[in-house]
Amino acid sequence: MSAEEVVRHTDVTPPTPERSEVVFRALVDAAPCLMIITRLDYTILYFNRFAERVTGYTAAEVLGKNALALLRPHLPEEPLGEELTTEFEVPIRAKNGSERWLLCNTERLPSFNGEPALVIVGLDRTELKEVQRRAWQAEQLAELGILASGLAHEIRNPLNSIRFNLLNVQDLVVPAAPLASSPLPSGESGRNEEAAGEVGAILRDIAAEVDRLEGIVRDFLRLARPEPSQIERIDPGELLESVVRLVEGPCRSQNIELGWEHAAPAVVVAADGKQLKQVLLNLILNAQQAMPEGGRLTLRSYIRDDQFLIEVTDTGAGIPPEIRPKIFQPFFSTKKEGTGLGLNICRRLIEQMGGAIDFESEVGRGTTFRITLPVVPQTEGR
Amino acid sequence: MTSAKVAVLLIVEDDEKLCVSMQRFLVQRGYRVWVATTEAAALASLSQVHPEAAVVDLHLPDGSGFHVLEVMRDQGFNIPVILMTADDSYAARQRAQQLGVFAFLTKPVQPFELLRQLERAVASRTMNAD
Repeated sequence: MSAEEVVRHTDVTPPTPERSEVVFRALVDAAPCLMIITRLDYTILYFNRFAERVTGYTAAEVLGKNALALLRPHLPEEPLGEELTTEFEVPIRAKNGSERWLLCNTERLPSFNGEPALVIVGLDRTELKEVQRRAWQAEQLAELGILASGLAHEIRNPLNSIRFNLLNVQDLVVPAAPLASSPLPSGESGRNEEAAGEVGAILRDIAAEVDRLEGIVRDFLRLARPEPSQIERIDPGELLESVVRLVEGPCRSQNIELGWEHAAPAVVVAADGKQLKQVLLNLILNAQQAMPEGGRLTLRSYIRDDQFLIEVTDTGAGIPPEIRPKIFQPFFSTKKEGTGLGLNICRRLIEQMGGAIDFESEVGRGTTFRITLPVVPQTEGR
Repeated sequence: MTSAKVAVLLIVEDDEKLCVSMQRFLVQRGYRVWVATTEAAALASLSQVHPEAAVVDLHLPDGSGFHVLEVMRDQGFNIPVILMTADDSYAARQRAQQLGVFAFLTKPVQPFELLRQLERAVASRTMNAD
């Protein structure tokens, strides 16, 4: 098509104000990017459809409100709109509490409805940001893997030596159990036995601390150097039953009522049974720790959209919204003695199996973690 | 211990402090324990001490526990070997399985677990000899 033809085909009718408005709205609503027009003090005057989709707010909910206060509560006051027209990446908080990342441009409008205004245009970069985050994390983990292996070797040898020496000391200090016929401890020998008992208790404490250190090294290695999953066809009902059997006792002793609903009796899933069990036990342990005063722990499994789902629900304190985005990050922990690796390992294991893990939480009511795993079609059999 | 005579063990471990603590623990429980801190020393002592079982560390300054195992098999020392390592990677466990180790223990090993495995190892040898 020649330039002349283009001109001929172009509609050159001068626009009326009404027509401009219609065209403006159609363009702005069709654009796959967020567009917000505000006063210079960020009071929202216009909010396009994409903005509604990204933020979860409707235009009716936000018009007249301050854009910064609405989309950036809890976030530091970054110069949104200070350096006009410059591209900048900025996190915002959607209505459901999730964080979204926008690549924004701002521009001053000489007049919008008769007053100077600011137009903010933003591309949703949340997914790209997530991909970047994971790539960065993978790099960090590769380096961590090398570091962790070296560290494990350096730490495990002395720990082992401590373990053997604790028993060597015990051999020297703590006498064998007295014979039934020997007289009751009295005087010097009674005091010696008392001291020996105390030494024994101290040695057991040291041994427990060695176990704790070893636990940290083990978690660290699991995170830094994850094992490949051995994907098999497993009967999740059987696996869940074995998990329930394992946690029944601890739940009872912690005044936690344990419920189990397995609503997918004939299903076969593709997973690593050992790792799935590890993940479930980790989630259950977290749930138990979220209910120090007791409560209800429910394991539910069911099929939805050809996926097998397992839910672990507690009636604990819930996860505050501000820490929700962080709970799968390595080394993030709210527990005094936590390494902050448990949930990160869980997510990696489940993702290795081709599944996913997410959660819902309500402060004061509790939390549900949900594992989704691929179901093996019936025709493939076992 | 299940066998009547004193069982002779060889520990191959480069960490001397660990060697000494482990040796003391096992001697106290009735074993005769020889120690080697290098691969060379381990291979040299095999024909001298004729151990009934060996506890071998994977990481050695002049070689590896796997190589010690290979040479042992080549030279006809078919004794049960308990491999002990801080490197409990999947690859290491696979390799250990291929080489037919009697047990694979991750450091820090639980002393009584080591003892249990040693008793089993020595008993299996006695049974085979019978």
